[in-house]
Amino acid sequence: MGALVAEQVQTAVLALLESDADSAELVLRREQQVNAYQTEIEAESFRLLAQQAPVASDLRTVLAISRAVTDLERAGDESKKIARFAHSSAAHVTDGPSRVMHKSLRHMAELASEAMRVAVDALERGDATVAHDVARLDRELDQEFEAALRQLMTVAMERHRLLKAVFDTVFALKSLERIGDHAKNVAEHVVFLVSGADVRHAAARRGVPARESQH
Amino acid sequence: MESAELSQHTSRRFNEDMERVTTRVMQMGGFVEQQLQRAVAALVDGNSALGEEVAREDYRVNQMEVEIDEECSRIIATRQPTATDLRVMVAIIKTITDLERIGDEVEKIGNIAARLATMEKPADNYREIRHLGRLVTEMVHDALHAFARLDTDEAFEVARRDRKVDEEYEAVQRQSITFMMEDPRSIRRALDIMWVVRALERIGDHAKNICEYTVYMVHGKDIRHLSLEDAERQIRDAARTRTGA
Repeated sequence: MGALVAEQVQTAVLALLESDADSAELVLRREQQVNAYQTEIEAESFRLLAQQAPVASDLRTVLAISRAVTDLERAGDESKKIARFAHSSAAHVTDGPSRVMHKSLRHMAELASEAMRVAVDALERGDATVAHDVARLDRELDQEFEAALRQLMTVAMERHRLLKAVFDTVFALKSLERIGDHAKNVAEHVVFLVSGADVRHAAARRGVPARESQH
Repeated sequence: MESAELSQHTSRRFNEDMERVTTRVMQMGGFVEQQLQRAVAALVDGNSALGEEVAREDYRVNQMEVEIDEECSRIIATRQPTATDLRVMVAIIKTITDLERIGDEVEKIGNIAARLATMEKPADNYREIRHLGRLVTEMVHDALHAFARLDTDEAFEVARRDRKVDEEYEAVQRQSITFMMEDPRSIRRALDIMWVVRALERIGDHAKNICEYTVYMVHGKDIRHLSLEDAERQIRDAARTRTGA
């Protein structure tokens, strides 16, 4: 499932950057397969839990896998949205926002793709050491997103004929940013799997407010 | 100790644990609902202090999620529940994940409300947002109600409302774009409003997820990737087969 989702992200990004309709369609077709994986893996995990009277460490594994699967499925959803955008007219408006933003789109697309690839690789190998690499990629994506958003606002104010296309582009960028979040989560689940330390809401455990993204 | 007695003992303990956890889930849900109402109010009333407070309080939602999650893991490990009971535990763990995500969306609304408070209000005084806010708040409330009562009819009814939320979301989005074209100065604000509307739409999705867990908990069927019509039909058919009618 991880390999398929990493592949979905990469193909969606390709569809977006190269305006490749075939890639976009491939992503849309394979989305069902991602969903089917989620259903199967969760049912299988449940059977394991129910049959084997799990001890604490089995339970940790099952829960971490179930969470990773949820994040993978959501990353798959975002890929689908990107593929739809690549397919839509908004991506092809001459001098439209996606053309103006091509550099940002490319950079974010590469970051998102890389983050997911590293996270899935870590999941496969049970490697908890790359979690902060993925977190770094995710932070970079967040910053790029904020910068791109400001730039898009300028486009919107200057040429409000293109507003619809601007918003579609904003949402495509947002999907890339979300893929970064999901990749980060997957990497965190790997840490939990390997070491048993729950690194989610680290701040919440200390009872202090966590700073999170604005959007 | 005899094994029958042991298992009875275990099951009573389990029931007590379950009751305690369910109560906490409902408390968490109640708090999230209240946060949601306050976030929308902060936006509509231009109350920046309230918006900030809502955003600041989100850590409590995260805290509740972690605590309930740990409690569930502990129960599963120590009580070794039967398959049916285990399904309830899994549904609870999934539900609090969605509640936590609703909390995140609410936090965003709070932050945006704080930011927009200083700006001029739109002419319609956020009529659409108030409406959408009410719709999704009711969805969250009723989804939890259905969950607590294991009421799948109500769960399906609430899940169906998500379509209405999606339609309204599309409508508001189209409308904001029209406004912006008329008045480009409002673009910054309109984009912020768009994030709010999107957050509300997502909250509707999460409420729908909770409804799906209720169906899973009661019927043992994963309906997430089915259309609601197909899901309802399959469950009806399965029930008919069971009763032999």
